Amino acid sequence: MKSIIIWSGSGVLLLLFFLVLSFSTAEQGLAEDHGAPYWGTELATKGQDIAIRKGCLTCHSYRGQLGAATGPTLDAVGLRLNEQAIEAFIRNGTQIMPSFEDKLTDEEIKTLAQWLSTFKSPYEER
Amino acid sequence: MAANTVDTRYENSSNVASKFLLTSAFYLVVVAIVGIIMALMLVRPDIFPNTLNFIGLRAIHLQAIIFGWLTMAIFGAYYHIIPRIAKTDLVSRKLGNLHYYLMHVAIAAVVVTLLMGQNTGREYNEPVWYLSVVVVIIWLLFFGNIMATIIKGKNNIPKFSPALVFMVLSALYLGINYLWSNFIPWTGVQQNLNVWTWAHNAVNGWFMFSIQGIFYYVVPKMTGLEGKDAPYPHFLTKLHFIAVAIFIPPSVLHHLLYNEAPVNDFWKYMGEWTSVGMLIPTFIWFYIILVCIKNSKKPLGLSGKFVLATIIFYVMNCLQGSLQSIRFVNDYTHATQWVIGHAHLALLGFISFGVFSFTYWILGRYYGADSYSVKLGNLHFWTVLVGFLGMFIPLTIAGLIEGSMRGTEFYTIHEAILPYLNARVVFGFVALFSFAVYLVNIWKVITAARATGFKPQSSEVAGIESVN
Repeated sequence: MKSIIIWSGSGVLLLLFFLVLSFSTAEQGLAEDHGAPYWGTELATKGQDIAIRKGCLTCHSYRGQLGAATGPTLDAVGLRLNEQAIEAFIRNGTQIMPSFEDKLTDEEIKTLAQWLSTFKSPYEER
Repeated sequence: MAANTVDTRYENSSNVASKFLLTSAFYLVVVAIVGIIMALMLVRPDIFPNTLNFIGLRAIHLQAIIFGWLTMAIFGAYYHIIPRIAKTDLVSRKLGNLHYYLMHVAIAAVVVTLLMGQNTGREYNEPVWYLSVVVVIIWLLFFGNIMATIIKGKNNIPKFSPALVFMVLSALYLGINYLWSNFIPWTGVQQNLNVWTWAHNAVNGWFMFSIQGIFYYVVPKMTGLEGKDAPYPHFLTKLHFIAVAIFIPPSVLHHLLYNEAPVNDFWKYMGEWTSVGMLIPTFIWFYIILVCIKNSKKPLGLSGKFVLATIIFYVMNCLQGSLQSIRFVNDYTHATQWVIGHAHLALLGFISFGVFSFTYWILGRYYGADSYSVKLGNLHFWTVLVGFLGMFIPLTIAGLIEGSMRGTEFYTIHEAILPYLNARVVFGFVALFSFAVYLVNIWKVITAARATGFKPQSSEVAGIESVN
């Protein structure tokens, strides 16, 4: 019994130590606006909230967020499509992507389209 | 099997464990069917109605494999093994059964809510908040029951039991990570980190860790090399435990190596090098299980075959994982089909094969035979092997093609990898067939045992005949 408490307990402490440390310091040393327009701005906060809750990020990824390879990455979607075209895509869907017309409110679709149309830097090879 | 060789000391434990182990196979078939539908949707989207919700199906595929198939089977192994290490019957059969039925209700509720479109959008963590509460209650029932059993039998447990320590810590990993990821409203960068903290710790901290603990119990028993007969030095198990406990938590960061991932360089290096460090415990465990198999005193049978496949796929999985955690390689493979191949190697190749091996072995304890016939057992083994490799190899090749075409238009890439996606569908059907064989095999073992007047689920056979 003692050995279980010592061994498993120290494992739990290590886990908690790294969880707290990584969550509190992961951002340190990065520039204030290191993520704009992908995150950090007011529009990004709103857009990201919708994208996460409504399931966009289940298939699409941007800036390496989430690993799904089902749909195209959104990194440079603003270069291919303008705000109106993105809005139409979200409303109508494609063969694979479902239509989000009645799953999102008008305002949510407009916010998403506005946010996604600012995505203009393609993936960079190091 | 003679009725006078049964061991009835662990009635509660056997009752609960056999329920978990037997029904988990049902969810495996569900997972495979949903997977095949999705694989078909990606190559022939025109044959499906637009109302079929790909997002919901993908979440069901993930949730059913995590909680339905693997977690159910591993819970079953916990309920079998922990009372036997503590030499005390499971404290409460009622709580165990409540746990069992609540699991089914919760999984059904998860499937329904996901198809309704309720989804948090966080990978591996899709069920909405009120179902998260149910998961926590289920975990408390489970953990309370096994801890009470351990405390009741605390005078019987050996000074250092690797199986017990691994299993207790991995159950704690499951609970702590679930609370951390679901009940703190993370935003921004932390939210991004949080998705991977759960996803990685569920696979590495819960599945891998618990499978290793279960094997520390099952493999020595299977080979007749317990205690002093162990062909490996005992300090290796302690070293293994320390290495895993140190390397798992920071290696989460290897999911955020992308050039512009919102994490500073310190944590990126941390993620890279602790992932490479994971090779240390990998090879320690590989060595331990391998020498056990090599020096086995008993015929290994069907489950021995699965143990060998498990450790081979485990080493493959960790070599691949550590390799793609190096940023140079990660740039090439990130967000391609390679990742999906890797996920299938981990969850189907390594962990599911491990589950097959201990399920066959434990069911052998209950029903007197680990397989209905040599043919049926071998058919399962070889079809699941071909089905899995047939999905894994094309996906890996497709990932490499995608990586080499990085920056090209999406539909051009899709055209290039289409043959490989088609191959995945075909071998997906082979895998589904093998899972059906698995169900039939288990069912026939049980009916054959019942035909001889054997009372299942309440007793354990002392001498098992190895059919295979």
